[in-house]
Amino acid sequence: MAEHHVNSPMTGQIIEISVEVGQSVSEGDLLIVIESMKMENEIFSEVNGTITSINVEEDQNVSEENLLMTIEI
Amino acid sequence: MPIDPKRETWKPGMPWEKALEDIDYITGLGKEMGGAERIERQHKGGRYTVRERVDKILDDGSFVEYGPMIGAAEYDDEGNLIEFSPGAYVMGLGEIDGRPVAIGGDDFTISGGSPHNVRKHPTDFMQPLASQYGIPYIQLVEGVGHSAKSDEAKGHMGLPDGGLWWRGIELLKKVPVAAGIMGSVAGAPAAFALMSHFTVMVKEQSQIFPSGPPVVKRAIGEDLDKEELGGYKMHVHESGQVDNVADSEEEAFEQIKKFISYLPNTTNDVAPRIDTGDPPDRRPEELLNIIPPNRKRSYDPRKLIKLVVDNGEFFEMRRHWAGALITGFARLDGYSVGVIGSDPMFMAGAMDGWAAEKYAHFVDLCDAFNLPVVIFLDMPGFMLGSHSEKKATMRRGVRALIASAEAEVPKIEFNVRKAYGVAADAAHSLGHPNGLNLRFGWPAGEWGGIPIEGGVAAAYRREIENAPDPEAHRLMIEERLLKLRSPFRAAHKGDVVDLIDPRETRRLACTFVKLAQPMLEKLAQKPKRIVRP
Repeated sequence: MAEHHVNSPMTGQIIEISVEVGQSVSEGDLLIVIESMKMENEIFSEVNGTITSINVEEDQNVSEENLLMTIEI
Repeated sequence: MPIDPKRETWKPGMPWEKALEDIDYITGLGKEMGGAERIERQHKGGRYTVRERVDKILDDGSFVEYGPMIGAAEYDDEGNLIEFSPGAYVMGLGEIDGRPVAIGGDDFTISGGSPHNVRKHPTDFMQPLASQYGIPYIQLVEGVGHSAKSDEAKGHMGLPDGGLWWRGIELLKKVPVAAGIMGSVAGAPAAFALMSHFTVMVKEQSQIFPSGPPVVKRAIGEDLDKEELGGYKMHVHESGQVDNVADSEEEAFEQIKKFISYLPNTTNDVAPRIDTGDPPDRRPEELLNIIPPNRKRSYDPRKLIKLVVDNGEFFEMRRHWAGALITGFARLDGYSVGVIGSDPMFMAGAMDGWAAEKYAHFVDLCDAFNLPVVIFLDMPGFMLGSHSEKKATMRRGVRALIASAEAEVPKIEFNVRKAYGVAADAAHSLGHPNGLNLRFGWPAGEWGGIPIEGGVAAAYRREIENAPDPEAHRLMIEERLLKLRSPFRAAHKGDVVDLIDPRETRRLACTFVKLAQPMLEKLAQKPKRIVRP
């Protein structure tokens, strides 16, 4: 079992978290939406696995590279 | 095939038949490379030998080898060959889809450890040949560079004089140079590989660095394996040092062939036109609704590009680096074009320092090879914030702008959505002032010096602060200015050639590329700058 880290690709504000801890996700599933540069930037899963932690909340500001969630693969 | 020490070697005065036998014999020894054991080791590592690579990349039977007998040869007192070890490089001429190319590659079964390595170098043969004949040059690199053992053999440590490079540098000005990084590559071979217009590495097989893990550990104490230090994740995804990654050697060869296929043989030619069978007046229906009505939402920009270009074939370069910007090659009505697009799904398509660098390099490449550029712009501006500042985003952005302004190749630009500020000016400047500067707007088009949302708060700050209800006042001004954002108003002023039905994009782009051909022929006659990797 390996841990996959989902890091924020950009600085912005979390406006939607589309998954829960324990949920299984597939590659291409929507994980989180970050508003930045006046756009709703959708972050999709790059792996198949199970969400083991979500490290941010809605409305929270995040910086580029901040850990958003971990997925066990 | 080890050498037969009892075999008599041809000497002057012996029959020609015997000489022919010896040519076959010694050439055969050359084809044995570093010997069965080393070939097996190469295959066990999942890697092809250099001779297999050359065969796979070239059209069947087209390889004409240069110097198959070059090697370390030892003769006894009677003049019989008693020892032969081929030079650690295989090179020659060949064809790819009927087009001549020069090709060379390191023989790792020898360079990976033989003490008998003799100098057999592309700088002596293939680079000058590619340059003089004006044909693309392909290098398949798998070598680790200078060996301390050779210093010991020479008895002194030579002062590097830079003489190794000038032919390769000259070549970048003249013909397409593509490199496959086929294994662990360090030192000078790494630099040769990167001295190219296109580089590709194989996933989990290739690594590239100035020095590998043991030297790194000794010098700075960092303990990483070679994949962490110089694998595709580091150099294709993170640093942008290498353009593309392939899943297999075969895919790497395909990518090299594809890259060459879009370029002319030299910077003084125009790329060949190919019959693609895709009608120039095809109307891609899906383009009409590809931009979502909600301007905060994204769309798949690669789908957009593929809907426009011939048969949906788009060869992307640097796909995994500086993702806000898309660069690649395609055909329109059979003519080769460079394509630049924004990716709203990555950092909203905003230009950061890396995207600016990617832009400048690609524009230089298109300009050097006389490729017209088709731009699909959705650029909200420079990426903002401290992370972007650390990438010297504006300086690199200005560099992108200058690259554009210096480039003379014509462009056609579709403002599919946003185009704001200096970052968008990089695209707007391309081909100025003499180019066929055709700019079209889609109905979703919106542009300006600064977006209304941030612009109003900054420019009307005092007025807003002094209003009885500042928030309401700001919204009121924004509302007023929003009406100005209609692309129709800019179209009345001639800022765009026209506002168009997105389904007309392909037809117009094909018309443009045809229009551009006579101009490209003239541009091809001009001396070219070196495209710096």
